[in-house]
Amino acid sequence: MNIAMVSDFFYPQPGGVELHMYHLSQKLIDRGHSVVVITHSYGGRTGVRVLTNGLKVYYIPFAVVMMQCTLPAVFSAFPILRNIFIRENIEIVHGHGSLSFLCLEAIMHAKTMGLKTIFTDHSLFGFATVSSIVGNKLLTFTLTEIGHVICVSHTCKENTVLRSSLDPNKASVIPNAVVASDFTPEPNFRDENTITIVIISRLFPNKGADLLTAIIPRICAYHEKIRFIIAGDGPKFIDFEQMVEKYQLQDKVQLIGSIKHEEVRNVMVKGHIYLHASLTEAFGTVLVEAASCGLFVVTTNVGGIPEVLPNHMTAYALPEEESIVSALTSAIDKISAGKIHTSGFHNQVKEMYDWRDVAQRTELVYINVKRTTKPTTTLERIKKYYIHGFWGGKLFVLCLVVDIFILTVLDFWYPRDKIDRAAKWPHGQKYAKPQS
Amino acid sequence: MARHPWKKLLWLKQDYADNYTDSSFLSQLKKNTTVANYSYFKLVNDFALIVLHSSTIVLVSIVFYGVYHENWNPVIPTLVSTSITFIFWVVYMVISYINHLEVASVVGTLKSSLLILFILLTLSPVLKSLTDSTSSDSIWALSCWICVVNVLFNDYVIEFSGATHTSNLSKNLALSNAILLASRLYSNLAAFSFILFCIQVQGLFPMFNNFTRRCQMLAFHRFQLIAIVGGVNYLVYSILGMSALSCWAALQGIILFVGPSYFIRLQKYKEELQGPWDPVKPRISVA
Repeated sequence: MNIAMVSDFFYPQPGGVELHMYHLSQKLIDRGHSVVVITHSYGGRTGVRVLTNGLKVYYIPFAVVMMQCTLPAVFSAFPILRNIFIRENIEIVHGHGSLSFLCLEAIMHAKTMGLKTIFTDHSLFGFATVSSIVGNKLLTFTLTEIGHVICVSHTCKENTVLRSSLDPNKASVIPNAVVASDFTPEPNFRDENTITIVIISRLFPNKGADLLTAIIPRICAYHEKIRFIIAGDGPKFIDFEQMVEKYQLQDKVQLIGSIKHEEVRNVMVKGHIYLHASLTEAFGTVLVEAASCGLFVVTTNVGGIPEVLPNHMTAYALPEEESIVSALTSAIDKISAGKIHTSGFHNQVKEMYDWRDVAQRTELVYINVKRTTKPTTTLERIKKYYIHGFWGGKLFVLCLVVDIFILTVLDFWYPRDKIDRAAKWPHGQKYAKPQS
Repeated sequence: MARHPWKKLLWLKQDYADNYTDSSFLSQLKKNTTVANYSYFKLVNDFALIVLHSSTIVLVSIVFYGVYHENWNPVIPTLVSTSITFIFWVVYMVISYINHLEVASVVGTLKSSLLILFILLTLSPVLKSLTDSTSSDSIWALSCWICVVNVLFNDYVIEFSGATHTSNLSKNLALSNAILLASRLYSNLAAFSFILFCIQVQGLFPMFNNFTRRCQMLAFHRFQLIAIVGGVNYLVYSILGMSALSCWAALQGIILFVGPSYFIRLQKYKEELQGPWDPVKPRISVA
């Protein structure tokens, strides 16, 4: 199959969506599919780039408004997206991230062009703020005709289904994965005279930074062998520095600032316990990475986190200072008594989370969508959009009609047969790895 | 062999399709957990704040009309408002002293008031000629819209518990409106007095009113409310006539008595969804 992954978020920017798209594409290529990634340009990185294994990336030149998102113009990307879809002979358009306007736009245009569409949601949203109301309306519009939706956790699925009034059977849960070979344990790097607690997180309020600054001094006072290693940067970094100054923790707490994703493992293997105090989380890849490195995980039980790891690898706490302190101290006691054995974690995690498995399950979604999606007439499409609210429905129909009109104009001005077809990367059967 | 029951876990390979929807789906969804039962009279009390706020805006407009059209002496309204402001300030200091509240020092208050006075005095020639190149009609229209937005976006501060931060948007709008209107007046003195009047009526008086409500002096609050609204209604009657007054009073009646019942009727459409996807509020014990 010819697949296009579309999102505003992609390499060189770091993050969960970016990694997910990259690894999923790689494993799909291994399975013999042709995958292109479409994203907006990052600085001078404009045009077509080819990554490992012939993963072709289109950095399309669009103005970035904020947080690496393109301008929310409904039709502006249609000409170039149509060109790429035709050039690459795309059958399936797979969008990622509900905050990415490029993804939402691509799904709408792909449907107008009669392609199959898939959407993966990576994050959780509430319902109470003005921005989330607008965002949810936009998602409802985009997902009206979606072939299938993939969510990274069961909680994420509940959230997405509610936000976009979707049939729950049209939403599958396929978690993220980790490259287990990049997160191998290395017990020799640990200082066995101490108990080291690692925190790797962007230091934002929603990552529980306030909780962390409250509990770290208490834990340091609890046991003199405790050391903290905190990696990550953010607006709350200064709070951590002040905490270190105030409680004289210079030789116990090490603040190393922001690190690259490939350095994460080398920091993690120095620790015994990984501490996570996030206030909302759809999946929490970092927890799986920590467990894979052989760390015992202490975490708040918010969002999709309770689904991610089995109980013998984790200790759950409420997002309250007292609860985290007691979970952490009991974990420390167990570790110093030698009651927790983390040496088996890596192999267990390897069995649980694998990108090949993710690719296989995603491929199944593609096949199902190809099999079950029937061509619809314009009138049927309009009916589907019209039922979404008194004003919204009319606005949606208007957008749909304009979209169809633009397609007609584009088909007239730039006929399909005048667009060059791209040569595919030579993936002979001999290159494809045998799959289980 | 019977199938194992489905579990809400990601790490476990389960014998169910990826799009399997269990009967426990959305079982953690909570609806309308923060619904409050409103009493009509409490709401009438709250909606009265809207009437009070719009009355101060009308007061400013009336005084402008008087100075601009009816050749009032611009200094008199300002003298009246200044003396009332001074009395209120004394009341504020006394109540704060009785209730052991923290207040700004007398010298500091005096200093900053003088500073604002002198800045206004220096700038009034500039402000007076600010919109010379714009037609009056544009100014009236703009001022009207600013007043409407001001009523809509004012922070009516109904509850004092929790966050004490209030929005300054309506104060900024009131000041812009004052400068706009002042730029139409004929003399520097008129512009200066008018802006000062506006600052006292729309900037300082709402703060004082909030203060009295915060100190639970409800009788005094009602006195301010009735005095301002009654006074403004009398001014509307004496300057613009009976028909203007009836329109204005009808609008006030609608806000005061129809608004609360409409608000209560809207409550049945409330559908607030909460679940595990919401960011939780961390609880930190204060040392």
